[in-house]
Amino acid sequence: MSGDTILTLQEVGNCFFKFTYFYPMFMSYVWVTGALIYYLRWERPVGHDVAAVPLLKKWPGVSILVPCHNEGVNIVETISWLRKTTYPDYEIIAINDGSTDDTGAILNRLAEEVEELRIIHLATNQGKAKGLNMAAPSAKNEFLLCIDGDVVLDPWAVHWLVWHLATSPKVGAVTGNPRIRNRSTILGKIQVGEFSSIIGLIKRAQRVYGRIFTASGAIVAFRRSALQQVGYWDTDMITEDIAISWKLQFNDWDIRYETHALCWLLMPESFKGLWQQRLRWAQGGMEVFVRNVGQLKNWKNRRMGLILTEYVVSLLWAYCMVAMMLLWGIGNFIDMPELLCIDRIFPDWTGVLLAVTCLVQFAVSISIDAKYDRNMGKLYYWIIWYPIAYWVLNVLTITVGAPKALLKPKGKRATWTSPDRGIHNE
Amino acid sequence: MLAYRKSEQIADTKGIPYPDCLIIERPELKTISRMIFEGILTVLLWGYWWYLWLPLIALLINWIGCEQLQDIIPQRIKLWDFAQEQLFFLYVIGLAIDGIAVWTVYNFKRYGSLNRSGELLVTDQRLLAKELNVPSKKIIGIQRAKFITFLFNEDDSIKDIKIILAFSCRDLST
Repeated sequence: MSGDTILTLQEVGNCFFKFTYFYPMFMSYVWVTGALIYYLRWERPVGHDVAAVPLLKKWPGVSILVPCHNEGVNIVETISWLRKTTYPDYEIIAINDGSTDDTGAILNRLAEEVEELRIIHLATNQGKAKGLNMAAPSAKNEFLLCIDGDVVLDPWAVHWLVWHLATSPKVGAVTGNPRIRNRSTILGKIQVGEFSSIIGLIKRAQRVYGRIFTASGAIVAFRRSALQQVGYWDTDMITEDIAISWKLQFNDWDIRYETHALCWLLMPESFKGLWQQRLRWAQGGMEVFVRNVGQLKNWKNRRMGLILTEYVVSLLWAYCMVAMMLLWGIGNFIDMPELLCIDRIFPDWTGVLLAVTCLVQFAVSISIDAKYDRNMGKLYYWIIWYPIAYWVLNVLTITVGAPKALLKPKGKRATWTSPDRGIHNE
Repeated sequence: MLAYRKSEQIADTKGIPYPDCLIIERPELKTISRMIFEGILTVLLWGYWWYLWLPLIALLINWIGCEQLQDIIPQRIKLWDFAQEQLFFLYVIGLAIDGIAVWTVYNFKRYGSLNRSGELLVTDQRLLAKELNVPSKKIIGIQRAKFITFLFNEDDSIKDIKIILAFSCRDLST
């Protein structure tokens, strides 16, 4: 091997290491900047009082769709909180998707007590997407608000979401601001931080850019004509929320993020549950990407290019991170060639830069999101090192999820599995 | 907090105001092994967090002039050398931030005052009926039904739809 080739390999290796170290920090500053622009431009002028809803002459009717599979433990609470909504004209459609517990019986009983509640039973487990596809044409109203079966909706959330749909004909969907309820364990606490400092920042930054990676399936309102135009939800996508978001945006519909539309949800508090959930998200992202990447050939879809590029680069980074960790691990036992030798993870001032980035990211996210939540400052102790844990989890789930998505048989129906809803439900 | 002044009128059955009544913080539900594991994990991660700050601590020690500690925590790479090395990274970040700001201003100037309101689209009922594979005249009945049951064939196409209206019971088969 010639001296020139070794020098080139060294440069390549240098680029590899620098990319692995600096890409997440680079994205962190991009998200922080975008989130601050969003906050100053759209959020602060409106104020933070979720009860001070925008004005509209006449609020149109809304159908609230609640797909459920084995939600016997949570559905009563979900429906009872939906009844507290301050929205004037709504119906609730609960979709019992082949539940094997007492969800069906509970819903039937509730329907007799609650006038606004209608029930759809699917005889067999068809998956959330199919359930929504059945419910959407069965709804009375043009505007549909979809929430998960364990979600508690803020009493004013419907106003905030519908306002966008009613005033802007190009808006196809509006996603809300999910908050975490269960904080008994360290996993619960760090996910609170994650939803603020990662998801909240990303969504705000993406809104500034004009395209969103996903409208969270936990709380999202749709325009039914937009759904009809794009063919409703894909039943073979494991993450139907990512899939429908991309379908709408590729068809030139706008998706907005409304920070005042709060909902409260339960997240996994066991490592197994968290792993399963994040693996599903990673696999789902890859499935949607593979299905839609060809659409970038069309010039009119150029604005989705940055979202897809960011996804590809983050995928590449995940694999580089795995390679780097493997090289470091192996290097502790075997003498590695100088080119492949990594003596420490985050050496020297790069580590300081990482620590400063964490501080900045959490300071910005907590100061913005604290207005919508409780005791965010108290969580700072638990979440300050979260980006490191997040990166490890992200890396591992993408590494496993991406090949799973590529190897999955085409057209296979995505059905429900009962998720982890926290240790208080165990 | 101002954001919840009005919402405190909404409370759960125990009288706890919203949203406090929704927060579930019950560490007593954790098993002892879990508490120990979480404690160890927290200590390790906090330890790693402080490890990241070592170069800065070394720099401060250097600046203070504490020679004994300088040997324990040597400053491997000088800050100025690191900064020069990372100039490219800083330029890229600056470029990205400028790009986002310019894009925002461009969109605001170009579309900010543009009135894009128009006729709101409404879904065609015939197309909705087609989604459920029912005749158009049946879709209104489905949309008014209190209970709807969907039965499926093996190929997941709709086999049958049964509805129960609010004040009468009627079986509607497709």
